[in-house]
Amino acid sequence: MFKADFWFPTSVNALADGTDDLFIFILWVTLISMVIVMGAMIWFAYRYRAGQPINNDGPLPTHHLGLEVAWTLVPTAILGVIFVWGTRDYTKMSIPAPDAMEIRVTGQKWFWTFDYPEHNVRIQATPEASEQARIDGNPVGLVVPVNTPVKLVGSSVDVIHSIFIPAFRVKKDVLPQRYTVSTFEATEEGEYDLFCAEYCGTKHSGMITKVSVVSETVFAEFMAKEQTKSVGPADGALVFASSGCAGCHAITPATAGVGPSLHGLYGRSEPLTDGTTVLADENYLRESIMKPMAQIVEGYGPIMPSYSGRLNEDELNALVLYIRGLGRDDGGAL
Amino acid sequence: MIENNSHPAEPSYLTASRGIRSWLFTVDHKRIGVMYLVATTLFMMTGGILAGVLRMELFTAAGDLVDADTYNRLFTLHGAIMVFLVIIPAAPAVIGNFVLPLMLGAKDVAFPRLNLASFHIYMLGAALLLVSMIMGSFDTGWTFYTPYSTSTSGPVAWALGGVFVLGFSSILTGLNFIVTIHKMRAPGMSWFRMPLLLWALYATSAVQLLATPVLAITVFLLVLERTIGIGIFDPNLGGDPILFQHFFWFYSHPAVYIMILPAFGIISEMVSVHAQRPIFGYKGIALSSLSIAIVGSLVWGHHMFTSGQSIYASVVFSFLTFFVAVPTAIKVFSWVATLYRGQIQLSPPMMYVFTFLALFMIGGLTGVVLGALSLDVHLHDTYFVVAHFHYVMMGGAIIAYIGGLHHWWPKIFGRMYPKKLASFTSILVFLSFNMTFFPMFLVGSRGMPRRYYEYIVSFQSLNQIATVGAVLLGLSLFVTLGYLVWGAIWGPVASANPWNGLSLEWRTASPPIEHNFHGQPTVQGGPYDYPIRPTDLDTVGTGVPA
Repeated sequence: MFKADFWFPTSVNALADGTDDLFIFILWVTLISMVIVMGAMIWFAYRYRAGQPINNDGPLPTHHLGLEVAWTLVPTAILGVIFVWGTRDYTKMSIPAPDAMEIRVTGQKWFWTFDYPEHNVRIQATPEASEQARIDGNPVGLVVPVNTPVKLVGSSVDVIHSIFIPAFRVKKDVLPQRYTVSTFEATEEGEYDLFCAEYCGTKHSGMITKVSVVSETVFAEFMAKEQTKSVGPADGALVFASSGCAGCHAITPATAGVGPSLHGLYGRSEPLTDGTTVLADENYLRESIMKPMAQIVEGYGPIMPSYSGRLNEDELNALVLYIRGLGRDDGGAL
Repeated sequence: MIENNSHPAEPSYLTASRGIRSWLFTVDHKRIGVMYLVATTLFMMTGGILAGVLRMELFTAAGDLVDADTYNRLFTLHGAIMVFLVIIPAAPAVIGNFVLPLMLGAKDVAFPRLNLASFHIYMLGAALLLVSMIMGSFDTGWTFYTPYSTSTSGPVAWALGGVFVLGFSSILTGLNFIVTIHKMRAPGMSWFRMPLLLWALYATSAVQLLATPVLAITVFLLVLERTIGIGIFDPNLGGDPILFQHFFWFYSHPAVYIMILPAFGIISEMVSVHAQRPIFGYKGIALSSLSIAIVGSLVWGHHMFTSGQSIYASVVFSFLTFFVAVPTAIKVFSWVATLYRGQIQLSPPMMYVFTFLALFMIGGLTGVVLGALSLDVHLHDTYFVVAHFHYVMMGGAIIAYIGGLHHWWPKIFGRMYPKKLASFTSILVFLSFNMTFFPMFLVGSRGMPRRYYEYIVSFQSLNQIATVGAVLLGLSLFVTLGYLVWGAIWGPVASANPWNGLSLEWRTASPPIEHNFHGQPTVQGGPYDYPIRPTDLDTVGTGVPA
């Protein structure tokens, strides 16, 4: 009961190594406070049960400053420790390493899709596909290499879902029309559960698959032979052309057109008309396509039409990937 | 005693008038309290039976008893009924309505007609929820998260209408109580001579008044989005689903304090009266109710650590969450210290105090686990959370409420239930409660998400223990209901002050007369000035203190 393994599946995430210890710490705090408080309660209930002769040790105490200060400050201090501990680990678990391998996660009623932009591979983790993968002797579900930092960039095409990998202590909601990020670094090869943790309707409890942590060699082989192609920057370039983006936005470091140039935009701080600045991350790019009026770059007018309803999730993801790579030394590759 | 004899045949509020209309249109706070008692009990049975079906379905890993959509509707109804129709109104509207004016030495609440209107509005809201149930029910979860709630089929708008209407009942009751406490305290009852239940109800009312309108607005916007497609929360219409979660929890987190603060007040009363000893740390308990109400209104974001809200926001919400734990701990310590050198009666209300303290401590301390950011990421939306809030909401709020019913039952009905059976049953409730909900901590920390119709086989044995526990818990509660009803009708006649209480409700007859007191009672001391003096008991039934 005082071992983390009693409460949790064994942790195989290098970034979450402090969380189990914090749980065991709070468990001890709980047990000790329960013993003190329940012990006092039971002892008093026995010792001062009605019918016992009333002892006359002076008036009954109705307050005691020292005691009350003590039982305010001691819990405050312990809670302070727990807060700092939990926050430290959370920060570590939440911020991906800059060199983390990126995987796109798409939630959809009622299966997960995993896209590997670096490898141009897509895995649709439906129950049928997982069964087939097992028959073929392939790794099932979300396939990741061991000892490699991974960044999951998630979104949903319908309602909110939540990717939950108990063995990694990872959980992150995926939402329509925005990206959320989570990260992990698996330390043990093996197969682990992956659940949907945000209620999403009829087959919510069927929206489960596996995470397969494999060696780097197996991972590379699997990526090379997997035939289902993902969407990547090249597809984004096609969307860019067919949607008429180039009519207003240059992709070179050009002088100002109708709209701002997209060259080198990703990762830059953009000044807005309201005087604030915004970091041009994936969410900013996505929002500027879907809701162009939300944040307008200084020096430009609010004239761009919304592409909401005109691009599907794949097209949008591809477009964001394409814009992201514009003006980067690696020519748009990830 | 002379006063008492001069009113030999004064009828009680129960017999003062007859007929169904004299109940449905009464403005007597006591009758309104009893009507709330009947209504919330019926709804609690409904919600409990739904929970029983859910547990039966979860007895095996495979979905077999009902289909998935039915399961989803059942847990939605269970949550909505228990939250909106039972726990939020139970303690304030049943015990608060009955006891608050009596404790103040008042004839009624400040606005008796408004009080009746609150009840009628409550029944209207309940009817809307029941209509939605009859129309095929809804499957959004009681949390109504968008965009699921805007895209799913079913009579969601009816249910939302019910929640909207119920909110007004809550607001008006809160308003009524605040005014009553301000304006109608008996001569001599200063703020710090008020029984602690009144402090708790005051804090509760303030939260009801300030937070519930936000729920009403949120629900209204959701209905607009669902019916005419105005994009507020649905991102496909240009809205923001996280905004919905902020709005929703801005009410629904304070709502857990609406549920638990009256429970704290009930425990404070019972622990002092049944230990026949002054409460320890009166001011600490009174003021911690207010600080819980204030700080508790600022912690809603701890429901959203994995939602995609900013990391910085999560850190602030986590910090404030730990802050709210401190006044709660102070209360628990003060209650236990109140037992020191008391004359402790192992009466049924005291048994429920012990049950409450044990269960609420587990609920509270697992709340500390969930307040820690790193742990919440793993435990959020798992059965660990389900266990935690059932320990707090049922083990805390409902257990205190049931204890409070045992405490005031002889006052309400003038008759006593079988006390030995009640004490024995309280132990069964305690044991079966733990058997039901403790395994959920474990199955949750091992990874079982909530709202799962089917689950992986390794979670099965813990679920089976929980299901067996739930059956036993249900039976224990039916026994409780049975002997309480038996006691109210056929039980031995109770005296005006069976527990030797000192607050004013014990100074009038059981059941009280229609106008509560014959004269205006006055107060010379605090409500917990034990040990009791013989003169404190002389005044029984007269309505005039010594």
